[in-house]
Amino acid sequence: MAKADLPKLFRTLAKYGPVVAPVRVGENVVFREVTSLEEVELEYTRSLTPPKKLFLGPQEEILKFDGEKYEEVFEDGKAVLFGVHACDINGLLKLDEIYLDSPQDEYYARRRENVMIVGMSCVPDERCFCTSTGSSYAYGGFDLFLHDIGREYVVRVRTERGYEFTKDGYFKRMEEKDFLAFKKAEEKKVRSIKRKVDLAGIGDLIDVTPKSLWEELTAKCLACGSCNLVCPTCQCYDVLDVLELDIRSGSRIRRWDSCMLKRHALVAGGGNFRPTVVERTANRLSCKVGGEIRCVGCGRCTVYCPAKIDLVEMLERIRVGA
Amino acid sequence: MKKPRVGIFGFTGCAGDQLMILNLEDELLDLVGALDIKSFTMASSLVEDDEYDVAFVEGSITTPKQKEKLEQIRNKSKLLVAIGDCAAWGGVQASCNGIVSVSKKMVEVYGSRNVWEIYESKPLSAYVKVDFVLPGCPIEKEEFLRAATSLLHGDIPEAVDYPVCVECKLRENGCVLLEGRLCLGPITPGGCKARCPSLGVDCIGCRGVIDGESRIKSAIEVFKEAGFEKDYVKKRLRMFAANYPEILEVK
Ligand code: SF4
Ligand code: SF4
Ligand code: SF4
Ligand code: SF4
Repeated sequence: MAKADLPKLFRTLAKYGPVVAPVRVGENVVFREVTSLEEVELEYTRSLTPPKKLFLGPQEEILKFDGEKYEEVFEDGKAVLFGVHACDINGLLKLDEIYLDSPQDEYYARRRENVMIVGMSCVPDERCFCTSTGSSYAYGGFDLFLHDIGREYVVRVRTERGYEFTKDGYFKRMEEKDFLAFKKAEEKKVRSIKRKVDLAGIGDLIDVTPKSLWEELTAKCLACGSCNLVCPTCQCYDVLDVLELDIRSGSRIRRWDSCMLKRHALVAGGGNFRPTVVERTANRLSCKVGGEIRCVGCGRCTVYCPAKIDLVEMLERIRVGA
Repeated sequence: MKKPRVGIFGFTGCAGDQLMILNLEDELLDLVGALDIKSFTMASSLVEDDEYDVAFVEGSITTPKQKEKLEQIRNKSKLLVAIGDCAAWGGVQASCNGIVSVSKKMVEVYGSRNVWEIYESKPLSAYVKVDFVLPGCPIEKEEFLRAATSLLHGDIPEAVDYPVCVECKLRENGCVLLEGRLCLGPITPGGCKARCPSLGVDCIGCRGVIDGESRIKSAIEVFKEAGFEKDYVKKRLRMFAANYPEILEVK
């Protein structure tokens, strides 16, 4: 489709439900509800918090109780998540492995069902390394994906639901030249991602890394949790009950948790099996790249670390062992 | 159910925390209804000589008399909750502890070192066992309400043991530290919903530090690398948490 027709697509999408899209706020890009295409940042590198927030809110009420009965709270209306990059779509697929595995998480599953996803090609920077984590291209996990090839978008259709939106006259069938332009644009993007990290066998290396190296790698770490809170694949949450003054009614809240924080490994009696940033960082890295690769190479944890601790540099030092 | 007997007391401080409790306009009546408030040095002058299930204590300890009164409160109370930065860490009035002596301060303010006996400003925990801390300068009224509710329910309230950064990220703020301001968010307990960074300014650490958890040495290193002068960093760290051992010893 021609880029000039994007407003038309936007308007039809908006009929499905509220559109949530990347918006520039100061120096950052965040996903927000928008009412017009003009508000959307079409060319951006990475949003501050990942779009997973639509499926797993930073902090949300999951049930209400009044001392006798409880009622689950579902915020699962239809919506369109517009302008999602390949890394974040792959991040959602990784979350699916956990949240949709049986028994599936009903809150997450319903939203996943009802929220339509429109992918968009990205503008990588020097901190992206998604080609090393196999997440630079989204094979699935979206309804539509718009690839920028200059004056036009190549639109990949992945679902019936997505297909319904491509029936208007401004969608043209792809020709060979479009294929070539698409291939060229993708290759150019992949080439522009200069940052590489070798993850083969890194889990074993993480396990044998001596404490002295961990101490060096984490010397500046502030145990602030930001790295987890901006990560598209961090899956941990904390649950707390907030009571009203009548001490009978209240609500159950769940919010994003972080394994870099004290409470993540705090157990009854005050014991903590990950007392310092050394154990916590080892855990974080193991979780991300120790077994299956659960990192999508988005670079957020590095970009938003107040101590400027670089994940890829850490992994490189772990490989070298010094 | 018998209503818990609650005492609210103040020592050296601005009484801002007690004011925050009175500011709970919407809930104050329910709160007063649910608790048997025995002593509230600000809301009324009544001080009953009684026993308490919970004593909320504001202010730092700076005189022998205060120390004595605090010990009495401790003996009469099942639970003692420190409210506000002064009670929790000694307050702003502790920021020169270990640098300027008490007698020098006396001479500077009153012209003579023998006006009356005073101590360096210390938190309640320097003298008595504190069961729970509600930090902040001033405290967050919602946090007080939640704590009061937990206590009513017979639970120890949820202590905030994670830094301001967590709430800062949950609110989708960028990072003012990375943008060049000395933000104390990483070492300061959350609970204020990252009020200051959400307004684009740095956290000044009004909620003190997270005992045993805040990474003071790492923060000093990070601030140094960000180009801040040593003296400035030291002053900033001391503002609300000078009594924290790792901060007290910063040269
Ligand atoms: S670990 Fe870091 S780079 Fe990897 S997905 Fe999470 S935030 Fe992105
Ligand atoms: S964001 Fe950086 S400083 Fe904060 S916990 Fe993660 S690695 Fe440590
Ligand atoms: S602005 Fe301050 S509180 Fe927020 S993430 Fe950065 S260092 Fe932490
Ligand atoms: S951000 Fe820091 S200074 Fe501001 S209210 Fe919160 S703890 Fe206090």
